[in-house]
Amino acid sequence: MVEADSAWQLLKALEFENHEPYRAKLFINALEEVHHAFLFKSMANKFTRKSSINIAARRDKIYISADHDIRFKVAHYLGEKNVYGQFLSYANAIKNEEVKNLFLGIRGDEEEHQHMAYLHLKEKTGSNFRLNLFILREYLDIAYNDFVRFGKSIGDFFSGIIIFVLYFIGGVFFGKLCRRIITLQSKRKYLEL
Amino acid sequence: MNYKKSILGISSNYHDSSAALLSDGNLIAFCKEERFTRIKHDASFPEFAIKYCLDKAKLKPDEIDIVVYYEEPAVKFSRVLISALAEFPFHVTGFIRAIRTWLTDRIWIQNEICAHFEIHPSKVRFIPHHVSHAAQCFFVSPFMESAILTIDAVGEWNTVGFAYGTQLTHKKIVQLDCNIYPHSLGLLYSAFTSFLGFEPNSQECNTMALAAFGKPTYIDNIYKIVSETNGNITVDQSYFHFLDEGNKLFSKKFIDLFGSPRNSNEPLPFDIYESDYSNFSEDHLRFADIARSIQDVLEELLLKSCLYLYSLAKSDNLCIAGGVALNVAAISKIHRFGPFKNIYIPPDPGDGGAAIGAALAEYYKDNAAEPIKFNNIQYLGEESYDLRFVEMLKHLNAADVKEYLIPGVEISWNSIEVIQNISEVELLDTCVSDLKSGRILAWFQGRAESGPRALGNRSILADPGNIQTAIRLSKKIKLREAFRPYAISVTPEDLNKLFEPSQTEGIDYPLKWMQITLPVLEEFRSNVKAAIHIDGTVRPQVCSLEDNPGFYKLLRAYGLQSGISALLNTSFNEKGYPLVNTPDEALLSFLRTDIDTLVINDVVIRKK
Repeated sequence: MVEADSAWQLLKALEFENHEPYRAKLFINALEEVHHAFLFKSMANKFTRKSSINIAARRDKIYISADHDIRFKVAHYLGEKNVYGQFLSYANAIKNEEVKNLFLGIRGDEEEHQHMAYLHLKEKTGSNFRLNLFILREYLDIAYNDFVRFGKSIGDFFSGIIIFVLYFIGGVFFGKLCRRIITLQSKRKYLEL
Repeated sequence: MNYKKSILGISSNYHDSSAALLSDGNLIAFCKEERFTRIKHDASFPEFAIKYCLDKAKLKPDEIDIVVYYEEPAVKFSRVLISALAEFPFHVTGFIRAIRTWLTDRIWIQNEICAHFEIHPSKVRFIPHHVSHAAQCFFVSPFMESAILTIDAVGEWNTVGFAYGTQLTHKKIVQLDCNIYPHSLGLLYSAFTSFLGFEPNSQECNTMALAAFGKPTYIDNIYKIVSETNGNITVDQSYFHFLDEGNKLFSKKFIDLFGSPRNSNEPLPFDIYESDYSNFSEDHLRFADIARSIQDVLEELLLKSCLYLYSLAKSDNLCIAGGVALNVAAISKIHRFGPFKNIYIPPDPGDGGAAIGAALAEYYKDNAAEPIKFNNIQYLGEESYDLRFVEMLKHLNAADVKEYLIPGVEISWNSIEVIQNISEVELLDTCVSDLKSGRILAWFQGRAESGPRALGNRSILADPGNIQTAIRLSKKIKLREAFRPYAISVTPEDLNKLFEPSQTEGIDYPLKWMQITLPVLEEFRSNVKAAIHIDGTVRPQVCSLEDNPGFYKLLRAYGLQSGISALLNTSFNEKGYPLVNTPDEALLSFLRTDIDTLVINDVVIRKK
């Protein structure tokens, strides 16, 4: 899902990129990410019984406008860097040779992407100081989002317990009434719109 | 731009989010969110679709006068709550999931809209789900009065709406009767789709296609679950888990009746080009028989619903909307055996198109409203003249690309030929010659299609008489199940070469938008054999000069060489993705798959 999302982000970024050689590099990058998503999906389908894997993820963060140019490039670089590290960890942890090799193979591509993104970013920011500043800002953003996600999972757990209790209270006291309402609903037919 | 009144319709949160813009009675733009986010059936708030609509009309968000949402979330939430409590204590997990989704997201849609447009809550309106569906078909239909059938999984409470619409004095839609949740034909069909290993709310077309291979041996079993009296459908709930959105929709009792469900990864060996399937396993034949049985039951119940609607509305015209209207085989039965003389189905009859319906319903609340104006409602999507891809191509290294083709693609190309600045005649000659020689051509032109079917602006085309090309298309481009047939596009002049003239009467619009199947006449079968389903039918798009001049000319040019102006036509996308929307996406699909020729506006790109 992450790979498919990367491809989408890169295609969107093409709309705002006018430097033709770099457009071509981003395009190839997108092509590779689509291919990675395809490989991961094929592998996931092989090892799961779950019906149809959705290869597209819902995005938390979208860079779509021209004024987000540098931020997109920073996110692109850090995204590739993170994925590169993550794939290595996955490859080390997984015992299945087929899956392990897939991660290792794709990691090679990610290394190239990371390098390409870094060089372009350095050229765009002009100085190491500015580059590091942007990177720091992006890291803070990532940390904040992780914190929100963590908070949400904690919230989901406790809200689940509360809803569970409410269901039992509601069901005992209002279950019969609700069945009656459903019957009455079926009699409400004519309506002028 | 200055408009007196702009209404924006929105559909979101379930599947196929979309936005539609109606300014001073002109239907300016409509698009589904999936086209921009590349997430098929994307359900998220349609921010890209909204931006597209506003850009098209050169409007700022705060210049929108009214935003209309396609259903009433509070009523829908009450239905979810009531039905979960009514089934107490059997729906604890479904209840937790539903309440969490509703309280954290869906119920706040008004706030989300207000924040997005920076408008006062009084400018946000809600239209009942089935009214949106009724408006989306009737107000754009050619009929002055019509019976209206709206049928889908579920709206707020309604699952089927029987209505009547008139435009004789002023615009009005009256609901005459309805079916109420949980008694839903749409959910019933989706549950069988899920049982057969396909994705509910998405792959119902697979169930329909598989049905042609089976025998209706499970009809009696299905009628133990569902019954019909005077338009009222009753579904025995002990066989289903309709509350568990997106999960397994059927119960253990259902499995006891129909056997074990199909694992989605298990391949189905049925193939439209193979007639002998006697050696298939019992399980495979069972799945095909179940698909056939539920398809037959759906068709029979829809026919009964139509007869009931006819008795209420007493009109010769029928407008249909809702997700079930996408079932082309059932629509064909309504046409052949139903009481109505004329049928209209909008290009996108599902929840996506309901954004148009919501805007129209709000617009016609004003009795003095002028009739709306629109041009080619089937092409309201994004238009892209961005030709930067041509320059980009010069910087692409073919060797870099080759590595990332879909496995199994065995083309050898060392360079890409880009042909620009050619005349229309030369362009058509190149395309026809490529198609005749068995090459697969992707055709990207003008504004994107509004609905789910490719109608000649985002299409992959091939010779309909060449089965080998169709097999290559399935295996190396679409990665499509072999039991699913392709559609064809044909000119009005050659329509009657393929079909009995009496069978094409009263369905002008369903024929324009691939919404019906018809049996092919014997004489020209071989010309379109790659698109004929195992039951001898084909799903045609009749494309006239007024509908789509460029595509029509291509069909005519092809007809001059092949004897019939018909082409195999399938949507320009890769499996799991929506139709391509921009030239860059088109180029990416072209390079990655076995498509031989890509035509973007007047630029031809060929793999040598």
